[in-house]
Amino acid sequence: MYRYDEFDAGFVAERVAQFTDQVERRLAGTLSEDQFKPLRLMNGVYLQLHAYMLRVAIPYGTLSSRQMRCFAHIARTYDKGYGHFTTRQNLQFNWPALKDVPAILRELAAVEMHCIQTSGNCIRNTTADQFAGAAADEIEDPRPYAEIIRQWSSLHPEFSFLPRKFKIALTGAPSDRAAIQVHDIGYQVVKDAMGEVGFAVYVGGGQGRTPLIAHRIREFLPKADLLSYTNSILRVYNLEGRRDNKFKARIKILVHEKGADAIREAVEADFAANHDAGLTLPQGEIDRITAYFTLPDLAARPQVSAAVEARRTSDPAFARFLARNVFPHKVPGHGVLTVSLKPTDGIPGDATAEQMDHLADLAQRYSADELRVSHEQNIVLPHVRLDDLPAIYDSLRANDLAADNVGLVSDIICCPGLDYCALATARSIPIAQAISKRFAEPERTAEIGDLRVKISGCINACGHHHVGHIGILGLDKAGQETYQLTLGGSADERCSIGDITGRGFSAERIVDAVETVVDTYLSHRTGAEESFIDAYRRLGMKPFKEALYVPAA
Amino acid sequence: MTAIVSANLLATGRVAYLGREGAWVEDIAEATVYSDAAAAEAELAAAQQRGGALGVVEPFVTGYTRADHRTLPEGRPTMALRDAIRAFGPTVGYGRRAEQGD
Repeated sequence: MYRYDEFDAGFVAERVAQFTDQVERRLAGTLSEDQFKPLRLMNGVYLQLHAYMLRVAIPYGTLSSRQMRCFAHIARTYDKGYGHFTTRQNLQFNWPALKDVPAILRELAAVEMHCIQTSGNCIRNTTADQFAGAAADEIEDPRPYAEIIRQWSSLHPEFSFLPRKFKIALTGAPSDRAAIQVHDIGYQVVKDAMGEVGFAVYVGGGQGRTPLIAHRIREFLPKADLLSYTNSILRVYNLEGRRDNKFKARIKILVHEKGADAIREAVEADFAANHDAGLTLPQGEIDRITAYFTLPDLAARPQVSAAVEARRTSDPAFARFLARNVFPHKVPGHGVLTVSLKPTDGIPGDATAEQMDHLADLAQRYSADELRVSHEQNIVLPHVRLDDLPAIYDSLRANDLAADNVGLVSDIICCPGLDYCALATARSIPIAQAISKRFAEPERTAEIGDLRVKISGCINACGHHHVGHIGILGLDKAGQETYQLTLGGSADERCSIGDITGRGFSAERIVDAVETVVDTYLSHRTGAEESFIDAYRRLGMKPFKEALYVPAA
Repeated sequence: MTAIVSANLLATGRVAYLGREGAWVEDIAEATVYSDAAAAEAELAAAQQRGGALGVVEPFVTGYTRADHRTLPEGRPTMALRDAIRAFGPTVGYGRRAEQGD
């Protein structure tokens, strides 16, 4: 894992001291709220419905046991004993007092974490495939490049006041687990015809009120040019992006309005003119950063674990857990384990301080001291021995962390919604809970198979509803919570934006509507091998719409 | 419709209401209920004038009748859902359980 150098430690310490002084001045009344608000937002402090919210950046979703324990400690000491993992691989505390934030930031800095650039019109936390560096299907670990982008973009003077926020995501595998095509920039590690490794470059994706899929503006970018090219994209955006209308200020609107070809030309022209301007990455520097992300020393083991096989045949629940939560690792005899934060009736992405401590203990004992946060709001133990899976599973069960539903209908992405968020127009968590209860029967859920349900409590789409196989958007219609349903979205390498089914559903009816969609899929699919999204792409909206909107007799 | 003045406390962020003698109180039951929104706005303006809003953030006026305040989460109060959630906390597990432990 990356460790702060003197520069990182220095700038974080300076910022903590600076913000501590700003908080003191605000509490003493010498700074007004108008003066203070932009300062607190630069440090990840929002004001939500019930309290302040503090958003902590988890760079590319990778953290150590020590960092996870720090989250648990903060949750217990300064909050209400829990935290919320987000779709941007961050952690949010829902109840910190402003007067405690400086102390919290000092605790975070002590474990090499901060909240800088988790808000504001700047380059946000760079996200990555949660299986990076471990997955068997990966070409190369994208995290060294995410770290290089983090270092370059932190407090970058030219890009601290962009037209709007800016989000970059990377994947090192052909299977896109990082939703790169709905990011401002998506980088996908690819090999060219000569076998050289570089990046395919996607620009202009995003969700919110105008969902758009990114355009691939370059097939192959040499690694050395990563920052130079990113710089050119940001320069074009910073100059040409709209500042007259907040809702049209993201780069996706610029790409949409000017066209991908025009943006490509502008970026390539800037890149050609400036790409020797000190941003070309020296191989020595790439190697130095890459060394922090070296695969732990895992000895190859038998591909089949006798302990696992014995338990699998005797314990159906364990067999389901293996089938859904364990992904092939690069090193034989190992697995990448996803711990679902989506128990039946749970709050997607929430973990108690005790669960965080427990996950930290498991990571320390079984996973080379490392954890990941996925954009699907789950936790990953990236390097576990197959032989250890029975013990890990038992331990997870004892801590309400053994949900065997990864990628299934109850593994729901869900924003905090109106229960917490000042922007929300409807609640989202109770809908996620109701769906998880409706589909609590594990055999039925497994029979339904891969199905991504994503719920947002407002048009800003933090819950990724546009790219849910089933998406739900909560709206306020004349004081009543109303839920719009979309079908056919997808966040992976075959990215698509969902289609709206028709008029919305009440809070009481939306779960029935989801079940109707699922039942329609089951009755129309060619077999268990045809997933929901494949069936939807074959069938189109018609049968689902007919089932959902039965005319009154 | 009768109305109240609400805000968040500067130091803690917790929801507060303008109560008796210009004090900010955390329990909506202790909020002063004004005859209408205009009266509440006037009271807020007066509080701001005398420096009585320095300890809060983003004060605003919202409709409220005393009869509303125990109807959430299952009932359908005339109070906006957002105001009701601010008053009584998240309608979902952690928040409420944690509140009870305060």
